[in-house]
Amino acid sequence: MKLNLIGLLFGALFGGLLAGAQLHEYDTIHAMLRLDEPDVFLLMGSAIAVSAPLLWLIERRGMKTPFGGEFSLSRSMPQRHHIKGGALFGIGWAIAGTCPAPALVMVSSGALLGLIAIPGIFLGLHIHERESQNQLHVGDGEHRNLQPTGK
Amino acid sequence: MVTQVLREGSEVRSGYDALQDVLPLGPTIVLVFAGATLLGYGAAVAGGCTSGHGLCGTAQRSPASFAVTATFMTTAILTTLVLRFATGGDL
Repeated sequence: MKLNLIGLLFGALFGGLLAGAQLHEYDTIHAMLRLDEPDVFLLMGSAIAVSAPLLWLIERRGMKTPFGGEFSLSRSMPQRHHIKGGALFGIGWAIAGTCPAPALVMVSSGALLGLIAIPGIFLGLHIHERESQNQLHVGDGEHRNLQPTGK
Repeated sequence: MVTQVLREGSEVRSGYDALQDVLPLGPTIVLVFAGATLLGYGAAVAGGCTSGHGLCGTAQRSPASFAVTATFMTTAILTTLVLRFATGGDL
């Protein structure tokens, strides 16, 4: 319960930040991918520049997290599905001008076509779900179908 | 008329101003839906999206996340280029 509340707080902060940066507007994403505006690249770069050293430090010191126990980062080696999925994701990103998190922000900001984008995203997830029904499912997201990664 | 409302209503917007400048509402909806389907499918196959792989994965130096991020940035920029050509540079 406490964990959920913390999740809610950080989720709200993330959503607010996306809205503040206008990432829920097609025009922002399109201008970025047209390489006209560096803002979004700078935003992503600064986010990584803040979190990467912190994660490195926490991992190096072997710090425990207050609620999640042992702190461990998960890394995996690139495989074919990463390249295939990444390529299709990029095409969809350029066409729809939004990605999963900003699509949710679109709806809450009153941008109506977000109501078209979200069912589209779920259809894509559903297609993948149906395709992979025969495969072994372990966990979700990046860590389903766990295979040895050499680590 | 619907397009007009979507564009000029103070509260209700489409969120796709630039796209609607070159396309009517119908094709815009089809394009957004198709793009979003690719987006969802790609994210499921790759195991993450712009925030999952692009921000969190790269911040923890996961090699797979670097690969995914480099791939989607490349295809997204190329697709945008194709869209620009297809619309005669209007988009």
